[in-house]
Amino acid sequence: MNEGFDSFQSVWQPVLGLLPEGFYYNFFALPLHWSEARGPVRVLVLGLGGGTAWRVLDGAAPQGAELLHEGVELDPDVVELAREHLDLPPDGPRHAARGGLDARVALAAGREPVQLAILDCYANQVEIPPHLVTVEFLRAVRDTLAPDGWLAANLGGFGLDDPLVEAVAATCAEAFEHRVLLLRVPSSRNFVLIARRDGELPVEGGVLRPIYDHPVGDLLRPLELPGGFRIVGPEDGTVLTDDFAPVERLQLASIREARQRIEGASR
Amino acid sequence: MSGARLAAALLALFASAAWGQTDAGYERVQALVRERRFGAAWESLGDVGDPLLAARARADLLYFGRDFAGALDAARDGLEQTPGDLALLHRALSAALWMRDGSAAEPLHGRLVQALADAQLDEGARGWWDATAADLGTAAGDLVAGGDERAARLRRARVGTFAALSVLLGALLALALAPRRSNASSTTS
Repeated sequence: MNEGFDSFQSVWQPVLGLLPEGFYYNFFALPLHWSEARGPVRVLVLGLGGGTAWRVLDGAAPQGAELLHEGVELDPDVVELAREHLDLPPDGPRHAARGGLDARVALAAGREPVQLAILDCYANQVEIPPHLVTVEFLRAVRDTLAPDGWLAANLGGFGLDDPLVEAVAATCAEAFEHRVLLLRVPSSRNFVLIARRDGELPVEGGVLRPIYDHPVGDLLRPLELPGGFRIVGPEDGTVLTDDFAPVERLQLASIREARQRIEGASR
Repeated sequence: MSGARLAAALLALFASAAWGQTDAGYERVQALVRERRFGAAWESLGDVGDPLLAARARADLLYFGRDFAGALDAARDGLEQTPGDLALLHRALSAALWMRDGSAAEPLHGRLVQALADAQLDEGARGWWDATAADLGTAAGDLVAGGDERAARLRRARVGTFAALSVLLGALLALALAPRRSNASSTTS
């Protein structure tokens, strides 16, 4: 579904698994491989849309991992349309889609601890809802994770030092009480934020931990270049809270800085 | 130009042997990039002796590592030393197209066409370059035209909004200045 400009809310291809280069959904599979997931693995997607993340993960998870999906989508019509047109599976033992629920409300409902939470909530194509990037919300996400569980969040921006990207990452680091990882998604203006509950980040000797014998590992190759990833702590950006989350202002700063960079480079 | 065709052309270009020049360091970086060992390729950049080949290697590495902004910057740095280098112009233009930056792509295409006209090339190479430059020029033209269309729509939307507001304000003003009717009903006895 293309809402216009360059922003795609959901992507479908006939086969399950990795999408072509430039789609951030592929990066959601990385934590499952870094932790060598096996057996039942609970996955919670906040911002399910048409179910793209499910289709990617179902085809790109490590062999032996049995994914048990729960998805939350604010707009119930999107869920219905996805079932009709995008092969979104009906609710069953391995898939449960909850339409018509805000992610924050859904999170408060409680559930079995999840091994991987995915945050991909947007409004008006490119705007992150402010109440879904505060330290209070991200603490709630952390609390829903199993020990060593992962959060992977999709962020839009123009660089690893983008003001909005940096602020969300710093907020997440504050909420998780651990440093977090920002990954550049090549051929896109997306970044994927990786956080872990009580576990080590997959960075060893200044490089990302490689993934062998699976196509997912190839996603890491371009990130070997400078600017491929960054480790962020709470001190590296504005920590957003329920009573101070100037997301629109940060987004404006992000666009202004990007424009200045482009204009500066053209001179 | 379709994405697949462009990718095929770029891979063919990249695989070509440095336009007749040889440099062991450059060859090594090329090989590492072909193997997608980008980290090792980055560390080997310092081994490229020739400055022009070093600039090409850096731009190519960043391009194939899909850091298009970095590739554009690297190619531009190289073009400051060698303004008419076809490979660097090609790389810079390709990166600008990936970034959908029409304001950068259009002048780069002009420079590529000019450099091509000045270049001494054999028939086969000239045919490839001419076709490639034409394809990239079409893509740059489409990008600029799309940007112009968006700007025109924005202008029309602004004019329309201004006109609607003016009519509304005029109507409100007319209403405010109109003689007031008396609410009191007159009675005669």
